[in-house]
Amino acid sequence: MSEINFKSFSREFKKSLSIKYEIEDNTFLKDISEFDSMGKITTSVLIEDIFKFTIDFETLDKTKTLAELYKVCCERSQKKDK
Amino acid sequence: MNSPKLRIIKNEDIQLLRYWKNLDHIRYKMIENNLIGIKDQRKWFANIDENYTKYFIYSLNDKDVGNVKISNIDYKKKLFEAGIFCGDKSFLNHWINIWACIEIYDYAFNELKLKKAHAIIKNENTGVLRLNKSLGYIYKKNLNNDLQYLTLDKNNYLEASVKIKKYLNNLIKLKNNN
Repeated sequence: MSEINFKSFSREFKKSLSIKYEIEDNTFLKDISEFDSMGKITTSVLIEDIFKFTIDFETLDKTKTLAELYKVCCERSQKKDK
Repeated sequence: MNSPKLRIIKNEDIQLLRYWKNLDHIRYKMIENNLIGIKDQRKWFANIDENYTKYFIYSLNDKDVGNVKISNIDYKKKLFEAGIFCGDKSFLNHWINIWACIEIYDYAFNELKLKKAHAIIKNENTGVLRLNKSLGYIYKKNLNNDLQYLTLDKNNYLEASVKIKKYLNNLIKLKNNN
């Protein structure tokens, strides 16, 4: 399982989407304009690099916040390792 | 079955294309944004030279989603322009839009053997600007206060699109296995 913590994940997320402003843990992903179709693919690639699994688009659509997305990734990554 | 498809537009598609182009979420992002009439659309289609302009409709599971095109093809300079719009608003932010872009650029670079794309985009069209940057486009200059000019070399595209293609292929495989 990846050892990345939420703070690093959040930093990588912002970097990969070229987001210059602050994102709170509870900011809705749907309110982040950079999180559009390309942004979701960029995020998916980032998740695959960090957590070593392919996340589906529906999960990205359903997940409300970055903190929730991080939690989903950690859980999926743990399951994969078992 | 998750089946993305691309088809070249035919006469029976042109009014759907007109309907999409007249929608506010598309029209106001275009450089030319007058409302298009039925007759205008027929005239436009009749004047298309398929050697230099190719329009496609992309669909997912037989549902038409949007339009991608390559235009102003210059076979001598190996140059072209590309464009996309998502007609069905419920598919905005969907991976199918990126899949369609990849298909059209692969077609232009690999099948038509073109070498470079260029684009003029409204500054306010931030979604397309971000998309183009992810595909490897490089900002060249502002044309005025509203428009910027960007170019994309084949090599930059091939490098930039590797991970995108891998993800899309995995995603489609994953969906078809479920």
